[in-house]
Amino acid sequence: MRRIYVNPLPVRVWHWINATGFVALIVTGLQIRYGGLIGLMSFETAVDLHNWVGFVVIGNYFIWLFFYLFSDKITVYHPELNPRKYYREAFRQIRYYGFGILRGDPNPHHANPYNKFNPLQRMLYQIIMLLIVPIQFVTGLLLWDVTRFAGAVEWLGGVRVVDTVHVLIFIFFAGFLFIHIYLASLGRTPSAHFKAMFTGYEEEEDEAGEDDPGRKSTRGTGGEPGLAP
Amino acid sequence: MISSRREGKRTGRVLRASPVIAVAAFIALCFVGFTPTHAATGDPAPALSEEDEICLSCHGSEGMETELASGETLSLHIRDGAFAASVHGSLGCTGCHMDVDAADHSMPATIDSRRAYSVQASEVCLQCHPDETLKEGPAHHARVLSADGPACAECHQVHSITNVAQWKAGIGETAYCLTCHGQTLAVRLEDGGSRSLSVDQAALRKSVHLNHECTSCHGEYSKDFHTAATSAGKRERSIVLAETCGQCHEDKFLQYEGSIHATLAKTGDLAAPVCTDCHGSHSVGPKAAYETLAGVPCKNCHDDIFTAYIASSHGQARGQADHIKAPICAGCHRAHDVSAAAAGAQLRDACLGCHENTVVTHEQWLPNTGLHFEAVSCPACHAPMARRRINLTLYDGGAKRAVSEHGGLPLFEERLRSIDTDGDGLDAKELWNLVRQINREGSVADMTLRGRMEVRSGAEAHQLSWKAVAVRNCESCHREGAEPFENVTISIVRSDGREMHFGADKKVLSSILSVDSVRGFYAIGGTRIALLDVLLVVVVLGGAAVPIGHMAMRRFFRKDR
Repeated sequence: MRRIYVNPLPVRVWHWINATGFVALIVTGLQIRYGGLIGLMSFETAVDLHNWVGFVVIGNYFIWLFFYLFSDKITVYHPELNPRKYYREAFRQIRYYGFGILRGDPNPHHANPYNKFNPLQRMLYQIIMLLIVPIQFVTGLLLWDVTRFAGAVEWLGGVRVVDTVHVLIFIFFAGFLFIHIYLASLGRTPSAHFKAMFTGYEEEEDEAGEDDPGRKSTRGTGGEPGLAP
Repeated sequence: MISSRREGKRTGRVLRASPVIAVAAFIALCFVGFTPTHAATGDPAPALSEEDEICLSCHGSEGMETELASGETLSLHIRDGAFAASVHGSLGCTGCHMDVDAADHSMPATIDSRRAYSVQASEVCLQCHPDETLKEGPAHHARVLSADGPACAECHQVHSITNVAQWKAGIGETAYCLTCHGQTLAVRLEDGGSRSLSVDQAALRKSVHLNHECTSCHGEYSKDFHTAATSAGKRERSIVLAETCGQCHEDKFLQYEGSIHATLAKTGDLAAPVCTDCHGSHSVGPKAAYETLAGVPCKNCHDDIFTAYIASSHGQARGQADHIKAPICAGCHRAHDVSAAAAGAQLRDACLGCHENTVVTHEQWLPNTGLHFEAVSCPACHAPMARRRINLTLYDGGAKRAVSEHGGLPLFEERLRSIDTDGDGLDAKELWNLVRQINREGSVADMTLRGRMEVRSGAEAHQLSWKAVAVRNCESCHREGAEPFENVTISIVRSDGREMHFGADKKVLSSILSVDSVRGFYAIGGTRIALLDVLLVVVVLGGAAVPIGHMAMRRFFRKDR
């Protein structure tokens, strides 16, 4: 058994703040939107919490952004700029989740500090972190003070358009949360990835001819989509 | 003193003079002699006939009077020398009183009232001054046409009629006018009705215009020039004369010209108020007179609204002596440049003009205060008993202003009715079609709909209450089925300045089509799009189903590993 350091401290801090924030935003968002159906707190409290947590999550985003921009770990998103190889590996990963995992096949992707994500994770997390999350931040910020940002709101088509986009992304994350948590349980053990996000270390059984986990390599050791970006 | 006053009050009293009285008067005259009527002025004494001297032997006595059936007192006294100096002095008493002479002094008729006597006595004037002659002078035109116009004697006096030229020279403009217009005077109209030409002198004396001459306003008339009264109706005449006010009150008149009242008047609406409707014609009072609960003129037309105002916090405060700063109508709506009630921003600014710290105090607890101030009218929260609604207005995103019929979207009502074929108000699809149609035509650069929560009627907008009972509960609006969202209207400012409201299905606010058509309005929780609710349920169920299904398959294939 060997330990591989795949989740550096900034990533772990960012992840758990983000996770807590997302849950809080979803709960308060549900309370704001469905006040007649849910009675966890008053509308006023829900709005206040939603606003404060929103700003915390926005600030937290920059921990993630700056860490990857200013460290060599950015390779976890682009270990190789080879589209053909990427799509071949992505197809292999889809086949694993669809069939291989059911037959007990080994995960074709093996994580290491510089190649943490399987191809599906790499694509999905980049879309989420560089497109969907920023859009959610911007729409949330605009809705926080529609008057202050009236020009931007108008440019984007009006307050209802902005709100609808915000709600659509909220719906996406509400569904994503289930799948994210489930896939995180598909590690070596059901709790392996969860522990790794606290300790920073993934554990992997020794195999003959395994690469040095501390060396830059495109070869991973069993990363799952549950691993955080 | 000779008096025919009798004891008690009886109607149908008849004056009867007897030849004995006439003879006695003549004898008395011989002893007493005449007092020259011109003595005071020193003018040569006009000669009176012997017969006239006999009459004045009695009627020259001060205090001679009789009581009429109406209870009025009619003086029978002829002022000393007045008749002799009048233009009719040469005619002698019997020149007019042809049925009386010294030998036969009988009063043939029963006299009911002073007015009746004046009319009766004036009949004799017409023998020398017939209607045909009088018609030639416009000043008498109304008198001739009017059955109830003043009798000759009511303007020209009875026995002291002077030469017209001398009389005019010695009388002021206003006194000259009031000679006739101080009497009951009317002009007959083409439609058979009549228009009063009388001036309430008591009101005039209290008016701030007291020191103006009549001709200051009625410049087309003078002592030397008087056209015939027009047969225009009272309303039309008021509208024309209102422009006279602008000659002195130019600033106020220009303000009025931009008001909803003036706009309505220009469209031919005879009910639209002009200057005199609020200020009166000859009874124009000081400004303060129109700022009291009793004197405010707005209530004459807006009675239901004023009733609501009286019961409101503003009305109650206004009624207290120490709260005279509480606004009355003009405080919010302004006095002369009254805008349509639809001008919500103006009215909101009026609120904030007095309640200076309102924005700050609201910001302490109300998220998105600025948006709430834009999208929610003050009464929507501060008139808690009022019914509320969402009013959608057309907004030109290119020009960044609300769209009106005269501002780029004419005949909106016809357009709307052509789309709402079933006549039950616009549904979401019809509203979407309307917006698309307008944008496709390009008559407005980028038209969309903006919403505003407001109360449903003008009266309800005035049911403002005290701060302690204002709506402060967010859930009263931010939840599905909240009362304001049950009633939706679409409105446009018509060419006459008024806002026209058309009904719409409340689902226009929750349809997915509203993302395009009602882009400018959204109330969290209250107007959420139903399709997104369905999508949320599907996604959450799907998100849960994927792990459950995948786990089930792994368990199912576990034995094959």
